Amino acid sequence: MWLLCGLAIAAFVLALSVGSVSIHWAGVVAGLKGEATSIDYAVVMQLRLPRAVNAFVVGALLGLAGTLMQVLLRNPLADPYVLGVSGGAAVAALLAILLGWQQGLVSLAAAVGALGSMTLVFVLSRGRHDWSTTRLLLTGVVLAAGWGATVSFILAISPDAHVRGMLFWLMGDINEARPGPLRVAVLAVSLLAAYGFARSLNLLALGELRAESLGVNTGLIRLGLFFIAGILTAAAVTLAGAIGFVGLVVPHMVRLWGGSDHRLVVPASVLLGGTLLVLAELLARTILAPSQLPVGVITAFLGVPVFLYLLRRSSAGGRP
Amino acid sequence: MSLLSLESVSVEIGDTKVCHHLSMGLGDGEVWSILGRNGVGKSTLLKTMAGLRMPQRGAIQLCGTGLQNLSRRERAQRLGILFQDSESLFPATVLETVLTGRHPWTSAMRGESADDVDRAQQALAYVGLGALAGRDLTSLSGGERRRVDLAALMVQEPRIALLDEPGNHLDMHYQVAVLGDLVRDWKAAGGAVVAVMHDVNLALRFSDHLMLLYGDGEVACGTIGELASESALSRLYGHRMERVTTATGEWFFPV
Repeated sequence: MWLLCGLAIAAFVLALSVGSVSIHWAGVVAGLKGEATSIDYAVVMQLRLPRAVNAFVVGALLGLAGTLMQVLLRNPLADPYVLGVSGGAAVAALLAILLGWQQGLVSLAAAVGALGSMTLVFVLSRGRHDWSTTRLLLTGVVLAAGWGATVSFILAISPDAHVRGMLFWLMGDINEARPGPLRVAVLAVSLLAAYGFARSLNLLALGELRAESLGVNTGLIRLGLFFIAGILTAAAVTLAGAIGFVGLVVPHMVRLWGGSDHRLVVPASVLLGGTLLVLAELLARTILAPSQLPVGVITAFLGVPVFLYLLRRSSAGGRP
Repeated sequence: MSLLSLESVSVEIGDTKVCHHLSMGLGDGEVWSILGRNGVGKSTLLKTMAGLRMPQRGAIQLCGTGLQNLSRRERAQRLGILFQDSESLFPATVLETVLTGRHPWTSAMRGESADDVDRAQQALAYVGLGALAGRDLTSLSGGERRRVDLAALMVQEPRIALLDEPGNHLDMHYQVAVLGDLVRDWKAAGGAVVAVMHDVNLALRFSDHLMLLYGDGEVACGTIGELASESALSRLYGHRMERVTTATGEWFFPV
């Protein structure tokens, strides 16, 4: 855990000092204290710090959402977007862009779309008697496919002037927009709640009936997981679009290195998710500088080889 | 007072009747085996006894209190179940898996104590896996995995143990040795055991009572002396069973 905290701090220092204007770490500290030259201060405080904080919060939201979704769906391949939350957000956001709405209203539309899609999955996946994992997963996957087709339709009928903005939204991007207290509160409350039932998550991983027989209220925990993971995803998607791979890969990296006890996996996913996205954002604005890449492209470029490596290790050594 | 009692319980799976107005009482130190053909509902009945499934009719009492009046935690402190198969979504060590059995006795914030870890290690030694505490669960054989689940049930320390085919994956030695020790110790501690069994002779070796599920809701309950007969078992399995007497006891074999 201390190693992850150290990594997070190092990633922040790196993200604040590296870029088109290189600033020594002492300058970064001075900038944060408000003692630096006006350019250093402006670069650190107005450009790089907001982006780094933004990236950290989004990565943390996605890391935690992915961890919870994998336990909820009993599927190591689940990611925060598998139930169509991001698809609902994307359709609403693209419609807002098509209508020429401002950035703030696009985010609001995305939030409404995400929460609406989550509610739709919840209502449609509840059978007469139970709320089975398979039914939930299939409902989510089918709705996500439906949202995907709708996104393609909107892109096809949109005028060229809007399409570039839509594509950037879809690929996921980090900008200088502040995460705001609501998202930080969502992250903090979700982290505390998930940590509170981390032991129940360990039991759920051994089977729902087994957890129930050991005294876990599995119905309540699964409902909690669904809503917390959905709201975390909605909070991330409305801030930065659908950034891929962080929510899928981070929980596996944590389990590979630190074991499967969710009392460790939950906070470690928050720290590692945040750290990785800070570094991905740094790469996105530096490797083709002065051009700036969507950060979702970087996470995909990094995520694919990392995930394949994890899969190879899993076939070799039984993990993850 | 019975440790576990069923009062006029009816259980159905779809159109299939598992039991119809079944009443029985499980006393201190008793060991019951449930026998029956495939698909007759043995595991479903066991899960109903464990409170994991509601019966269509009737009431189930655990230590004198209705199952529905106990909290999940109280129920898990009194009654534990070994499932037919085990699953594991993510890699976990043998010790971590056994420690999950302590869940009903630990609080959400405190977690497991050194005493809990000691109990888990003792249980692992008991089932012959003391040296494998740090091993990844996925690297174990089926029989070793079964013994890990038995150790987890032991550290749960319930008075009533419900075992669904406990001999699954175990070789002859462990079927007789581990199950024999487990049943003996459970009885000595004033507990009771109900086990779904496939092997009639293993059931006769360890149990004092039988519950025969004939299908279509018909159930016979009684002592070994009352029910272990060629005619009853032949009818139960739809196959002629023959009794063979040896120096070590009476055994049944399909003809």
